[in-house]
Amino acid sequence: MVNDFYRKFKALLLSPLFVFALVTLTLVFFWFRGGSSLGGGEIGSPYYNIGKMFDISAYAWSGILLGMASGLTAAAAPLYWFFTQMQNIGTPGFLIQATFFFICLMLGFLSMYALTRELFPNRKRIVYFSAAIFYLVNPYALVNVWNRFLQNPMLFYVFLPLGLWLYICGLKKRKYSFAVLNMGLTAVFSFAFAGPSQTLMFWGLLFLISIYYFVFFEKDRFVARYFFLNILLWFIFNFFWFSQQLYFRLSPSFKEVSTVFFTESGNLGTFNALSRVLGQISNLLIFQHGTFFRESVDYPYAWPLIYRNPVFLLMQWTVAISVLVISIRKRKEPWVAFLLSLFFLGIFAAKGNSAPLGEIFDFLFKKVSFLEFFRNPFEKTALLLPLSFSPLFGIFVQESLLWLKRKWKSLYLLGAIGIFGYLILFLGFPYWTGLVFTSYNPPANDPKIGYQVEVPDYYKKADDYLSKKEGIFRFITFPLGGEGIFYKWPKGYAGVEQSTILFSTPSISYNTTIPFYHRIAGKLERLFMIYKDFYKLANLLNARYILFRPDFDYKLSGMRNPDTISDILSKKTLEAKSDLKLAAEFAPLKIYEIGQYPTSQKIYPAANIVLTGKERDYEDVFMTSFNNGDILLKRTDFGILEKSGLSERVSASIIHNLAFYEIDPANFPKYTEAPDIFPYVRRLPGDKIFPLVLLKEKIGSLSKTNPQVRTKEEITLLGKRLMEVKKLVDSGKTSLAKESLLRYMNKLPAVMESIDKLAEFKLSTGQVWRQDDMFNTFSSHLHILRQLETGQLNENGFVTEAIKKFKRTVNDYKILPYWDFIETEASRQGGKRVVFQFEIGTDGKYRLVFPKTLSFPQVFEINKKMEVQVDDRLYLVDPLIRDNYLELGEFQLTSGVHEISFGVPPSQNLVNIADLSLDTQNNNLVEIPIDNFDPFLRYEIGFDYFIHYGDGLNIVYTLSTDTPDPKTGKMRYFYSRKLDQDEYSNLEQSFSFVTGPNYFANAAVLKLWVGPWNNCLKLFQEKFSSKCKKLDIYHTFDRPTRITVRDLQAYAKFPAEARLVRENNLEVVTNLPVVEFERINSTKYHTKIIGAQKPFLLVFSELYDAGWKAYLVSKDEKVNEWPLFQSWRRNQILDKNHLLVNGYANAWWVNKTGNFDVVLEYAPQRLLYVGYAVSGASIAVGVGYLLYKLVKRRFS
Amino acid sequence: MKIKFWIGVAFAIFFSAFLFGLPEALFYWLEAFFLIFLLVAYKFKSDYFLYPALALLVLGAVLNIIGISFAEQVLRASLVFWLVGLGISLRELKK
Repeated sequence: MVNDFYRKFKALLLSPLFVFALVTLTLVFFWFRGGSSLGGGEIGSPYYNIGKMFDISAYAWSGILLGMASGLTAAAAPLYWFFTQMQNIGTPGFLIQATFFFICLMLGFLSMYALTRELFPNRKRIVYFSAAIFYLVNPYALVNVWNRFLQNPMLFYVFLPLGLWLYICGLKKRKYSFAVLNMGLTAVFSFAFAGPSQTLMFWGLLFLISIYYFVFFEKDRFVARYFFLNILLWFIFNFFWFSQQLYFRLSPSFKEVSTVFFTESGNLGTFNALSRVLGQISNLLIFQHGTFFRESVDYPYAWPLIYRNPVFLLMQWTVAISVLVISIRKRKEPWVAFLLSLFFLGIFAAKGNSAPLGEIFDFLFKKVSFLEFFRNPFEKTALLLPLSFSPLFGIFVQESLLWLKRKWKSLYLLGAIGIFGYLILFLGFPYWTGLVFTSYNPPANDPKIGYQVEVPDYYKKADDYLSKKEGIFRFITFPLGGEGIFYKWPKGYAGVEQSTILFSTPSISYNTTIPFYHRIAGKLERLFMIYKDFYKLANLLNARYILFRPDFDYKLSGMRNPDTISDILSKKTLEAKSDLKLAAEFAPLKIYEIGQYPTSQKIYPAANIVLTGKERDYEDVFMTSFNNGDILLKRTDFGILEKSGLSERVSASIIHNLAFYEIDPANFPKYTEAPDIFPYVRRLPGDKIFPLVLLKEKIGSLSKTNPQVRTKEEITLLGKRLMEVKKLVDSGKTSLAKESLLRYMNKLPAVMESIDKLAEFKLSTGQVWRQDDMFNTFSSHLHILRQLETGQLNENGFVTEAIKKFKRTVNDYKILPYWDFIETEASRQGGKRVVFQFEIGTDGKYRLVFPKTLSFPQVFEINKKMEVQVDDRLYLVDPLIRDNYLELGEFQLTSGVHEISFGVPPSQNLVNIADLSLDTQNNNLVEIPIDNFDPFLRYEIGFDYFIHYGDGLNIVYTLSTDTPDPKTGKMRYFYSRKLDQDEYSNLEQSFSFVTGPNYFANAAVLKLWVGPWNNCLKLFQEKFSSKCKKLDIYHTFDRPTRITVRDLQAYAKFPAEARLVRENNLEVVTNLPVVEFERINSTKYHTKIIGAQKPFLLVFSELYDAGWKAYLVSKDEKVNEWPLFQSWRRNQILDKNHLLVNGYANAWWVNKTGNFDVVLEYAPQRLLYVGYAVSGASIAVGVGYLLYKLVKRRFS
Repeated sequence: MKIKFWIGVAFAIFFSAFLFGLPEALFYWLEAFFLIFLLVAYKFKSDYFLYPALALLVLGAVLNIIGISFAEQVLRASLVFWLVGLGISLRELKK
């Protein structure tokens, strides 16, 4: 009896369920003992409000930000639904997250245990236990699964062995019911498959197993039938999310995302860089991440570096090699051979295109488009390593212990302890110390906090306040930065911005890679700071409030100092006729109401229309008299307006400059002597060898595969052609020179096209690749051509004609301006000129305007008439400084391309010291602030300097946002440079540099300093140089330095963006229909149109997506969520009348009058309903089938 | 005897390639072609590839532990041996 009890007790203690449950519960209890959920990084803090996550994933469209297709998150719906039910019964967020971790760990342990037992059924239990533990604690899992903390890779990692186990069970037992069970579980854990790389990996593995099983175990058609049945079931069971993903991948929005944010060359660049850094075989063989274990000095106690300690490295290599030795010896066992092959396949995949034979992966990556999902090969494919290695590790444990038992029995116990120590103490210590959930970012680098997050109460209060407000609206958060933020909360947080989770009201709180949205969010803060009538913009965005939040580290977050925003807000609220008022305060948060908010701007009829060339540039709103209800529309959509009779509603047309040049007319066309512009010419045309030279050049050019390198080569060869012309002219061979010039002119368009093909490298201003280089190169070409024009080659205007053609061609590609500058008295006084190029669509009178910034135009001395050249005509204009812009005249322009240029007006000198003297004894450092610093302008800073004696001059240009390097503690300055003494001359030198706009800074300081001259290292070279390491010796060689600086100047550069505005002076529209609407859910709105007298544009302020459709429904029909397919086969407003307005929103031309109803619906939601039905019904049938099988087996 | 000779040649090529400064990528391709040639020309056992692979791996590991960056090249070279060795081993298993 006692024995029996003991046996049962022992069996229980050793049962995997009990052991793993105990371990998992202990770990989970330890991790969540503080009662805080864990978060940060890319995942954020979803458990703060998991219901919100479910809302986002359960519908095909989510209302967050400006609205967003849920395509990629639909797979998370089942998991989030389950957790939402837990939340609804009052379970706190941290307990829900603890449940998630419990599920993950248990699933991981048990599934690897089961898989190993299935593959090697006749082995000891220690094999399965060791395999399971190793699978969860190995270094790959440590970094890429647990420390990285993303939920779907986590779930995929633990689900994978379960999927393989059930698949192999089915194969072995020849039962289709396993396919039903396995694929049913994939639907339950669908979140695991949210990333395409995971789906591809899963099916790749099942395919490999099937092939292997077919070849080495059972050559039977069953294997193929079983494999395809699995695919079919997976597709049906997972249809609900897979169809959404497919729709999203094929949608125009995804195309935009992938082309704007992920270029082919960008993908390739990432792939190359990651292959190089993470594809080292010496790391992969011991599962180590290339940088994590080498460079993580900022982690608490620098714990990852322990794994690089030589002793521990020896330990890891010993284990890796021992496992491989035993695997080689056991390779006659087919599953060992399979796992071993899979392991090396994993190495080849995870190393990307690193040697050896990386060219194969490289070739495939370039040719097979879906492989772009594997652009981080280590992250995506290295999980094959622990997956294949873990069962082999189990075998190693058993075999090595057996070997010890046979050879040195006394060491058996020591061996067992060693293996236990390796797994639990060495690999496992980050888990049971909690260090696995720490990071290098503060505050996660504090071991007491780690990933723990506690959201302060004031967010809940602010959310409640906004939720109670009537109507559908958004709010804008300032300061507004990128995706990452470092909140300064008591249990802090460093990761993605959290407003979408913290608030149930949608907001624009951070900038992210969403089409249309990113351009708007990126400029919003700037426009808020500059323009008084910001409310106009807020109306377009349906934003009613501004949330001010200062609870974050602005320097680390790369954002603006909240004090700057606070000052602006205070100032704006105090202004007379202010549009802002403080509505509520939940310290430290403040909520401001935007005063001039009309009651409903989510859906409204458009009043007047402003046509613009860049519909996402919201600055246009401030360039015209833009009223409530007016909209911005792309100029290219003008055709639809004409057709619909709405063209009379166009109140203004705004044209942005296509190109911008800043030129010193005294030195244009500038000649630059450089071998890459004009290489040395040895053989001239006419030489017998010359055809061979051309052939050699062609072969050389063809052999260059990198398009940038090839284009550079082509440009250099073009310069060579021109040099040949010059040399021929110089040697009097005019006819050959003519031929050569023709050769040059024929080659020019092809080179221009090559340059243009590098479009992905184009600047945001739409200008050419490497603008400055191209300008210099072709300016030099023009210089030579002009020289030729004055010579004998220009008989009958041959060269003049060529120059015209040359200028037209390079001008088409925005490299050089077309028109020559007209010389006047004013222009002869010197100074730079700016040239703006515009393309006009319609003839008319256009005003030339320049949007203001914080100090533009005040910083320029614009107080007298200015000469403005339009093409080849000269005008004298009166500059007008308006509220929102500088106006430089009005011009009658015809359709076509025009160039407008003028001399840059003088700018104030923004530094208050012109001359200074620096020396090491008295005055070794001078700090000069830039007056009225404007973060939205570029500056040119320059001076003359003379080194009397000693060391060089150090220059630092530092911004208020500059931060110290976290590793070295040294400041990382925006710009720093040392001007050393010229080796040859001892004359006064000039120096200048240009700084770009520095969006988030609010102050800039120029620092000039000198240090002592020291020749210690010159005197003590090589092996004696160590003497100089001793500071007391080193400083005995110090000698004083003295430098004088003269004529120090800091000037603002003239803005590169201009606009031409044509206004039609329309009256405010009064006869618009009344629009009332009701939000059914995030994918459906019911709109009532009352009193439409004319056809009109119906604007819907949700992110533009081709999936949004508008349907006319009968007037008194009840519209709600049910029936799901109400709009099916209804009268749809044609897609060609669906427009993008206001830079992000949807609008439809409604060609109907009177009173009627319109339903706005996101069409993919229907697909989701179908998906839920298909997946739900098929899973129900699958469960029924499994139950039937179970009952049948029980009774038979 | 013949086998040992060829394996010796393989190793000689491996080390001399680095001595003569053959471009690395080219070296691995040559190594792969050479091993595959051996595989096709002679019916080798997988032992003759897997154990040299293991030997190179041990060498690479030792170099890695003592912090010599050449370890990476040795380990890469071993990977080609592993590839061919595992290929033969699967062929053997099929028989």
